[in-house]
Amino acid sequence: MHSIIETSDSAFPAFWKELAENDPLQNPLYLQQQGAASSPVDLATTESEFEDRSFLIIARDAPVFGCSLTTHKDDRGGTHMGYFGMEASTHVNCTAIANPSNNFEPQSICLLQEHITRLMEEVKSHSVDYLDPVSCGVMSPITQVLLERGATPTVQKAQLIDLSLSEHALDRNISKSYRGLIHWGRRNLQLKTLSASNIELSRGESTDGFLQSALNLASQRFENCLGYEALLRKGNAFLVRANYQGDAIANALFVHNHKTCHYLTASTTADAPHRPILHGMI
Amino acid sequence: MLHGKRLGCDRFDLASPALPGFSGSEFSIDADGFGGMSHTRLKLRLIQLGFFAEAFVGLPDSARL
Repeated sequence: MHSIIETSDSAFPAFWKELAENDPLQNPLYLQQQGAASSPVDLATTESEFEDRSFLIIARDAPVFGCSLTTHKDDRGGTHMGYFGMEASTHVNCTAIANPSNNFEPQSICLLQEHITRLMEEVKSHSVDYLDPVSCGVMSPITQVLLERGATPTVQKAQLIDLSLSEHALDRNISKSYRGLIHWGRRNLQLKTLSASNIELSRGESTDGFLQSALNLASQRFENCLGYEALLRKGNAFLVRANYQGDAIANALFVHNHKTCHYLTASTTADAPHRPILHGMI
Repeated sequence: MLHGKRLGCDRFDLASPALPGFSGSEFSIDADGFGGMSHTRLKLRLIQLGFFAEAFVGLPDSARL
């Protein structure tokens, strides 16, 4: 038996949590339940413009797919689909992937495709922005729907680093040239991490503007309505700051959900040396 | 029409119990010099022109682009 559960359903939070714990890519920007008391995601003032149409595909009392999806209207009244200013995206229960005979059945794929098609027709969306994480090397069934309707795809590269490996094993897996760049950073940069535990202390110091500019940069770069400062304060993000010869020259922003960490963005000052700063910071 | 084959991936048969997957090198997961695994993801943008046209129904010609 397959079914669709939407955010208005009382069972949604529990199933969403279960899916979030079993999604191999675990992007913290997507897998939080908006509006929940424990949600680290605070939305900017435009929150009310977005209607959360996220949904889950359930099979045999377990989530198989989840879709983070909102609709919003532009100034001209046109409806657009995405996710709070980012692309909409799907999540896969890796348990279902690992045991395809259990519940990863064609009906789940069909239901997912039918529902997204129905939503597009219901809201008459002018545009759909969608991110396919290609979870476990599997193209999302929603991608199939969008491609058939003429969507334009752009390929993006991402890096997965297994942090459960020992530092020695991680180091051994890095090519010699990259390792040299990292070692330069370790020798020459003084790194400081700003997170929920010490962010309050940083406020009011001379570095405050630097922190704020980093958060503003993230918001501008991704043009979404997620509050990165709130993520930082609630313990789901951290900022790494690099000092070089006593001056702050770079910062890098990461978000995480205590299992998976995503590097979002970095910036350097005009005074930063022309050296590979980011390698050492990551 | 763009479709999966052009992107180096397999189109999957909904009637088949087999999992969909990629065979094209564009989507393979390879070791990378940074010590991790290179992973490819897709961003898609769909503009539904039919709905754009619908939105202008009822507007005077002067209001149309």
